[in-house]
Amino acid sequence: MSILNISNLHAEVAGQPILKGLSLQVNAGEVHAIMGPNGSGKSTLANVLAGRPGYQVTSGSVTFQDMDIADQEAHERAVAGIFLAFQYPVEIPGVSNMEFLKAALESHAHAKGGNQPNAAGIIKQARELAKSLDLNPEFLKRGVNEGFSGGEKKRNEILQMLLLEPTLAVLDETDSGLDIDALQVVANGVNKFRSQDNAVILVTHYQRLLDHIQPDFVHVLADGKIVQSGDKTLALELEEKGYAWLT
Amino acid sequence: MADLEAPVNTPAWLSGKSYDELQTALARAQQSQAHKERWKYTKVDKLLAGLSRQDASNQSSCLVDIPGGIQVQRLTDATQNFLSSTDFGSLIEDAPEVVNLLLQAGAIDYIYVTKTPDACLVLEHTGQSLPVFIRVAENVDLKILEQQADTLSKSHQHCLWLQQEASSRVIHARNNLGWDQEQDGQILFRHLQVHLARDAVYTLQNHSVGAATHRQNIHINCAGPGAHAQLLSASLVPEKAHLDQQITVQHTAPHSTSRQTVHNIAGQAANVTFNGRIHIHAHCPGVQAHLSNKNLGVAQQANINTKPELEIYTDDVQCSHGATVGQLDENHLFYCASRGINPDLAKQLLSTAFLNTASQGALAETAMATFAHLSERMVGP
Ligand SMILES: Nc1ncnc2c1ncn2[C@@H]1O[C@H](COP(=O)(O)OP(=O)(O)OP(=O)(O)O)[C@@H](O)[C@H]1O
Ligand SMILES: [Mg+2]
Repeated sequence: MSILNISNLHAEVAGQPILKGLSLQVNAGEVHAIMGPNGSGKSTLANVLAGRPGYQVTSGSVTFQDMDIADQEAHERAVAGIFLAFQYPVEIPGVSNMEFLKAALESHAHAKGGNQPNAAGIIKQARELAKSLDLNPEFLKRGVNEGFSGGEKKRNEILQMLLLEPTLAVLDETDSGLDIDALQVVANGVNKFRSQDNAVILVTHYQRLLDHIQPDFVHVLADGKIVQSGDKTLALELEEKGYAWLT
Repeated sequence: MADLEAPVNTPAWLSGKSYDELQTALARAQQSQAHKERWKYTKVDKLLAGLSRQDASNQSSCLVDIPGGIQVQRLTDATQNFLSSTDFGSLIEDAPEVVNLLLQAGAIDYIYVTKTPDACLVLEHTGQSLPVFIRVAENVDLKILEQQADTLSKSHQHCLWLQQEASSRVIHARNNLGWDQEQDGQILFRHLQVHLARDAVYTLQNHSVGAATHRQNIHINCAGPGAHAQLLSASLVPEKAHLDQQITVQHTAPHSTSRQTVHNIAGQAANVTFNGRIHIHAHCPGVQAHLSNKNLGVAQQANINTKPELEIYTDDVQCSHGATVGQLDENHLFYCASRGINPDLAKQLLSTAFLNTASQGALAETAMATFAHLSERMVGP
């Protein structure tokens, strides 16, 4: 079953072409790792998928579960099941994490025409997820990512993913800035999330993450295109040789 | 400028001055450039016209809850000239409209708090409230809750003086949420004047929505070494409403400190003015004064004026002063959207958050509920 089909995608940011003919197919149950040099367009791809304003698709197509999503706004894609874990999660002082999670879940329920989720249930679930990610549940009362350490912010992204249960999770360098224990915790979270009904795109610079989360495919993104694809041995090869031999 | 009517009663604090003399001084002050500048964004004539119609018999006390052990004195012309301790010369210059108001009131509720009460002092405004003068004795702690009743009259003016003696601490929660859209042309005027002696600490937790005309004067003088004033203010001014905040913090003593955080949101065709003046007098080394004013326009057309003013006459001070006018942060909006939160709900959430960061204290919850309710209507489709 196809989850994501990207075909010859060209996209620009601020008038600058960044993605230059990118194609990628992701099926249910798969984990794809995307590696590549700094500035090659990995986060741009993630943002284009999430529908960030200002990221202009100039040609090519993106279908999610066989639906063309070109005209969908970011919040519509999110409720349809696309989740982006940010490379740099933003801080929103004044909105508590709990309030934020509640608003997100309510929006999902509303969009699907389902019953409004029960507030006590959300709190309980969020607290349990926080514990499973080694986050003090008290942090749920604080502002969204406010004053969080780098690692705490990344774990909070995973918490949101686990709560919202997307069909496609795009994790943009969620492993960067994590200590060894935190990496394990985050990997456990992702492995728990994996199922035959969903898919994960992992953007990473480190093969280390792929020891914990076994990818089905590894791709190299360079200058806006996928220049090489393989299985996880490709990641080991990249670690050894760098990217230069590919371009 | 409306003519000043003869006061109903001539208060004792006018002693030594003839009424004519005062009127001349007031007229001069009202015509000064400084006064015109301070009343650029609120039509003072409208306000004074409302004022001169007042009569003392219509005025009631706003002191609804007085903790045990505190005596309220109603001071009229027959009572002593208690105001001799405040500098009325400068009040005439700084806020002649307030002198007007006092003259019209003809009486004042006076409280001297000599020991820390075990409950809050509650002020509630319904109609025209008599001016209140609160003196807080050395080392005494006081909590003040000041609110408006749901049925606030169409025209409301109020003056509050707070005189804090050495090492006293006052937390003043104040909600100005009485805008009644049904009451066409509602005029609200609030004057707050705080005088801090050595090591006295004053905290203001202010919340407002606008009105047809809503003017707030806040004058704080850190007059003793170690005095500290902290001002937090959050306001949401909905469609077509007006809010004009004129805040002056003076440092007339060395090593006194102040911190102001003022966040305002203006809706469609709303008029929001913030004028924040910090005045550090000569021979006041070690003063620290910080002010941050942030404004958010959530509609296409909102008029926001912010004018920070600094007057510093001592070298060795720390002073920061920032004002911004902006829209909701696009990164915040996208973060919300990426979690499925629809744009209207996101705007509402983020507006409330913006106010939340400048909101604190015993009346914060009530204010935030009012803001949430208003912002729902403001950003709605
Ligand atoms: N808003 C923007 N305006 C202009 N250029 C941008 C913008 N966002 C990204 N770019 C440019 O697009 C290119 C790709 O950036 P992107 O963030 O996608 O790279 P990346 O592969 O994620 O890199 P990294 O590994 O460092 O995270 C870079 O050259 C970057 O400078
Ligand atoms: Mg990146």
